[in-house]
Amino acid sequence: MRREKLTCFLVYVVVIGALQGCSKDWPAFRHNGLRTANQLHNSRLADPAKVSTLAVVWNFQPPGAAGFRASPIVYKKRVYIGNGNGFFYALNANDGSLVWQYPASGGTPLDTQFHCNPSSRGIASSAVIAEIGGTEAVVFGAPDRSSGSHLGDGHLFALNAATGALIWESPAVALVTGTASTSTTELHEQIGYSSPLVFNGHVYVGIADHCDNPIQNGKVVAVRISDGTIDSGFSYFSTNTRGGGVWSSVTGWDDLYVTTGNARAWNGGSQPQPAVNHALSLLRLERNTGAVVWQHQPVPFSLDMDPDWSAGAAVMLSSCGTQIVSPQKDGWTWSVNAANGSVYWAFPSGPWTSAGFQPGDGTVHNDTRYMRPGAAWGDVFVTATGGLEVASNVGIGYGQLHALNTCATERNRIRWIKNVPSASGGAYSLGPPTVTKGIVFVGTNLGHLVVIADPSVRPAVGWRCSDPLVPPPTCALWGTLFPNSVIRLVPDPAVLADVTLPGAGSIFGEPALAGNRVFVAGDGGKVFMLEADP
Amino acid sequence: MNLRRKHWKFPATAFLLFCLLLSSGCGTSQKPEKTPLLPEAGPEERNFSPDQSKSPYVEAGKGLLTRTVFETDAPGDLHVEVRDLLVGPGQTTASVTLPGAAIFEVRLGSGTIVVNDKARQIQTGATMAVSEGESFVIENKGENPIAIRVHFIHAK
Repeated sequence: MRREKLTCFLVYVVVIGALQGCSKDWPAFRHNGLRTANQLHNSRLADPAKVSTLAVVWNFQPPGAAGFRASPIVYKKRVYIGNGNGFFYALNANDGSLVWQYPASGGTPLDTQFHCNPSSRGIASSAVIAEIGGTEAVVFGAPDRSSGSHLGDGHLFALNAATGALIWESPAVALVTGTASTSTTELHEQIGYSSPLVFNGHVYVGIADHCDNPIQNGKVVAVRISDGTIDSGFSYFSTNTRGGGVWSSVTGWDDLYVTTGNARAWNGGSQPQPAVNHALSLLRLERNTGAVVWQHQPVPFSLDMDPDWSAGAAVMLSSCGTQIVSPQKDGWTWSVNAANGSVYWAFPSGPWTSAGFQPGDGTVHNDTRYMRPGAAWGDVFVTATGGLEVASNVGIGYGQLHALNTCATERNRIRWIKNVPSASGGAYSLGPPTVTKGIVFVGTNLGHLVVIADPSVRPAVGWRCSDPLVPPPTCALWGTLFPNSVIRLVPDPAVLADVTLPGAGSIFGEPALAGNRVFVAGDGGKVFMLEADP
Repeated sequence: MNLRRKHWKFPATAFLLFCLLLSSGCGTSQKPEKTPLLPEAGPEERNFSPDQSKSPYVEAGKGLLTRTVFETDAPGDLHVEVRDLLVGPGQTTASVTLPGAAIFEVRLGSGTIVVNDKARQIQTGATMAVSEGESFVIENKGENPIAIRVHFIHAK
């Protein structure tokens, strides 16, 4: 029996690895179920000379376009993405022409009647490629007003990737039973930004709420990949009351890894601490039952001022162990041992690294905006995070990317810091970064695609201080006087490309790296394909 | 027993071939990839990035860095200012007097603050008041910096 289990597990690793982890395409949000956002294959995008020639080849704007909050996925020369207008599109990756859309033109869009922010407009969930009964399928989450209360319950959809024909639509996995914004008797659940995970014969998706009006009880739902029916043997709820919304995409490796939102207060209300409280946590869930294997909850209920853990986790198969790494909305980034949930490191570190945050410790955990997942490249994690000044100047990291050495000592945690150009520097400045061979891609809220080179690939432009508010000459002196201090000179990496994407608007999603091409979509309602010269 | 072994032998071989076939595009990249640290800046390094903070710390006497985070005029001919103080590991600052009454909030680190010759231990999360005209010295015997947010009000 053990042998059979082992074989099943290896088959999963290899098959899903072939389909996702090793794909030259970009078949899932963050590229694969580990959510590493790392394109392993060589291409012109991994060549610092060639990537600097990136230029827009085509753009696609659907009729009646709203913003794109989902990210594109790319598979077998097709691009798949849902729009805020409630339609899902398959495009020819070569020229951007429409191959099919779902629902068909003139059909009822997949939308909810509970509009409050972009997560609740049309299709905000990025898709994933799956194989269903020998047919290649594309799976995504979206509201559907044709069932239940007709207000837009959340469902999972599996479409034939070639034709757009419906293979199955799941029963409602997120219920909307009314639209009174402060009602605590109605259900206001939604899939929102959570991208489905295909894993273990199931599709897993996180459920949160409509704009905290009010918060709902967070959950993860599993449906069978074969027919879309809900597996009632799997059950995870974040609390016994409400809170702990799963805004992020579930990550899969040996088990499931999820992050959860707040539980203490919402728009117009609050509650005492629930007896079951998995809110504001990074969790490992048993893949068949949903049981909590371990929980890392650094912000206690008493300090919960709405720092949702909304970025989701990346599994890093690093040289020092399997790490589960994620930035929390309050600006701290955490690395946890996948096996037992013990903390490898916190960034920045402090007494909280071992004991969690405590009332009176001077730290603040508000509804700040570190919401983007990071990218994992070898032992390096690239992320928008608060940095060394997060305790005193929480917003300073919004326009920055930090590259963190995940296997280094605390002193060497920061590999480099970049103030990303062509971004406002405020909240929502950057989309989620992606990476190939040390070259990092990120979209900005001013409609640019920026490409940054790790200094091992292309020399940095100069040195700056690991503490962004310490001038370099002072920092250099400090580093000389206190060689073990975390305050030291670190590289400011080179920008290889900064491409304007006309009409892109703010870029909320990730750049998908497939072959020699980059695919990215923006709030302006356009999808772009960029290609590097041979 | 033998039948069971034979039953597994072929699938195991086929499985290995299957793995090799499918993983050929990935090379060794599925293995943990050690990413070497970058070289350190040399002691004489002066190639500083032009991309720097608009509100950096400046030295305000021996062992003490300070920067203004926020300031504004207030009713009653007053001025409100928020500053950050940073004291390096192993440092003892010179005696400092602020031009107004201040509230100190320790954001990071631990050490000793001496106000008018009275010593007090401070740690992350501690707050204390310093009256107008009082001088203070901060001593950091730890290995990490002490960061203090200071809110103070003084006459314009």
